[in-house]
Amino acid sequence: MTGSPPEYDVCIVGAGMAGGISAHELARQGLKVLVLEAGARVAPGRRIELMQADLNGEDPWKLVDPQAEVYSTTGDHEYPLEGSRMRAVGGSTHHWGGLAYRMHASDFRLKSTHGIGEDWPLSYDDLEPFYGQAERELGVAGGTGDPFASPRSTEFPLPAFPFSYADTTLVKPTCDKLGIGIHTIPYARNSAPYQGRPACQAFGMCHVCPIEAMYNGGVHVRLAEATGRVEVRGNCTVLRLNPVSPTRLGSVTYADPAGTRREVTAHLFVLAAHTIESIRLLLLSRSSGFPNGLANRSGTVGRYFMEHFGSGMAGVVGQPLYPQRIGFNTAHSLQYHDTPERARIGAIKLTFASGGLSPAREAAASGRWGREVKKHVRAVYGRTIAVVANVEQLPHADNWIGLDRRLVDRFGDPAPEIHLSVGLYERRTLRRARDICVRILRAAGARIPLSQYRKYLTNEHHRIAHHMGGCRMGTEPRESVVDPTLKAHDLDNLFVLGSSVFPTGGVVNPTLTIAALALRATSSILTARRTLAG
Amino acid sequence: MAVSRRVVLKGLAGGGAILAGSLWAARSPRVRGFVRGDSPEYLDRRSPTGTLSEGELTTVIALAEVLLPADESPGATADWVRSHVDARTNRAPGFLAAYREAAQLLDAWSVVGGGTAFAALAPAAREAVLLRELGPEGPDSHGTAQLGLRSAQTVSKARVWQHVVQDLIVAFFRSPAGWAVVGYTNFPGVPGEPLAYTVPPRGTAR
Repeated sequence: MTGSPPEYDVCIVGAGMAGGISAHELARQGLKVLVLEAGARVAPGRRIELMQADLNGEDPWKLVDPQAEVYSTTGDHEYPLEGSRMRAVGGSTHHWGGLAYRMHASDFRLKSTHGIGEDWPLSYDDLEPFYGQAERELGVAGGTGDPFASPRSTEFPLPAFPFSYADTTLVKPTCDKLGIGIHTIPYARNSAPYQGRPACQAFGMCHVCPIEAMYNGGVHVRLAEATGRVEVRGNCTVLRLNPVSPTRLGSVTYADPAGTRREVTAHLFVLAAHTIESIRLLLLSRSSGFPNGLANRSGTVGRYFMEHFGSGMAGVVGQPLYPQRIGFNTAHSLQYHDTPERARIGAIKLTFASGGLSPAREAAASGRWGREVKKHVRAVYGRTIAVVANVEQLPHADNWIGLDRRLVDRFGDPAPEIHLSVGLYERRTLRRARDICVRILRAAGARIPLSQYRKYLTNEHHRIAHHMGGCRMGTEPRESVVDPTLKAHDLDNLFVLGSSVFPTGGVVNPTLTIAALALRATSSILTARRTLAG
Repeated sequence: MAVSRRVVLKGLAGGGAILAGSLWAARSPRVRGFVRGDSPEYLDRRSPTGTLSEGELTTVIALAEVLLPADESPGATADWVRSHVDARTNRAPGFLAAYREAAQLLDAWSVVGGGTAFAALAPAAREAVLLRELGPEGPDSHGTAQLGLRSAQTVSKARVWQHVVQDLIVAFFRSPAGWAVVGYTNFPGVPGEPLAYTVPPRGTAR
């Protein structure tokens, strides 16, 4: 390889949404791109089979990605990785919820506005045009007019999914009484046919979406391949990123489908392997020039890892709400995203969910049979209303992703170690969130079972699986991993995509921001390619 | 660094999950469930898969007709039972043995009272057998389980309840007939009018 020109203009590690978008954009500008993906392809036609598996009680995505997760977790929060990400061409958006939010303008200025967290090295206004582009690329259905959303210069490409029967008849009247503004939720899900994919047909199986009405990263991988300038190699696990000088990467080493180690060269490299794996690859790629891991002269690779946490309260009302006729919620409130108390109480996103147990679970829980079980299910089904809260976590250096050298994966490499704790800020925010949920439920006339209040005693919460931070953006190379263009400070030809670059996490789902950042990085990657020799 | 360390080692090739510490294991719901008799461990997952005999299937159909009778909405039909049970016993290890045991027990319970085979009884008589043997809400094995006293009969009833009765009931309510109980024609797995979720289902009160 020495002396030969690099084989590709760009080598992208990871064929998820970010890698797929980047490959497509770069190929459209004439670059020759290789994408290496650890997982397998998912043929669109296979999704019906996967839906059937889901209906049969199997985990459909285990049929695509059967590899078990190998990891350790420390800190006061045990952190299960299972089900939180996926190795596949198309990545974790195969089984996401489709929520496509813009971050709030305040999320970019937490430190200068509230004295907490960090400021991003770019503003919401800098990213706004790319949010619009991302919404068109993914096909986002949404409604304007949410007074608590950030300003926008373009319309949504698709109309919003309207409120459900429960939203219209119970949630909105209740929230109006309380002065809480609710609005429709933006989704990367077709409310009308869009770019060759059908509109949602209410299968209610969004975990699989048998007809690809919901966007997944495979869409952009296929678009990229259709340019004729992108090669995607599945079942190829990148093991190392190899520098050739103190400022430049020369190649990556990967294991091909047979497990044979191979090396490939490129002028430029884009790391888009999902947060934890991207961090892990950088830490694994130690060398004499990078003794603490590639691109880690700052010592911050892996640090400032963040999540969103969820909690909520549920109650039972007297009237049927007819839930579960579509697979997603349709009303939220962003009223508590950025309040004057943000220095003490973090951002809270409320989502309204009617549902509770399905008829099958109500029947099983009742223990009844015969006419009694049918009578019981008719009487109780569909009368549960829940207010679900996502809360913000601030970046802390003590929340980190590292390497556990006592535990190895199937290639003999150290597994990731996830060290996560929930701080006072987050605990206060969770408590406040539950107070708001209770207030809404009581105003709705819901009977809240006593068991729900146990959540206060335990400060019950669960992880949402929004992995953020660990390769944070910043202008100061001693305190961050990538610059505002997502180029690694320490290297001329490495870019990092994904939510690992977030300095703060806000509270909304990160996927649209990941897409917007990937689109914004395109021009910088092109500039870097032109600058590099060859 | 963390004071305590919890290592979760998951399913490397040939390996199984390793739980750190017996204290954790004792608090595990799976262990508690086993003691209570309602854990999946009660199924013999090493037993073969296959198909029930016609006679056994007839008995199971007779059971399902009582568990899930028709009222203002359809109940479990013979065709549905046949299709579900066939898939279950052929795909999920342990269920062939469980369903076979259930068919044998149902006949044994029917004969006890001087009666005949379960499937030959009238529906009301079948219902009486189930009420006598399983109770209106399943057999109560909790008390004896906690004392460590489990007769073979108790274990069998628990297995029939958990893996046959509950299996049929849950599967029914996941089927179109089950969703019809609550007036739905569009439910998970079955597409419908995309905006139907904004109004009550047809035929239900508004």
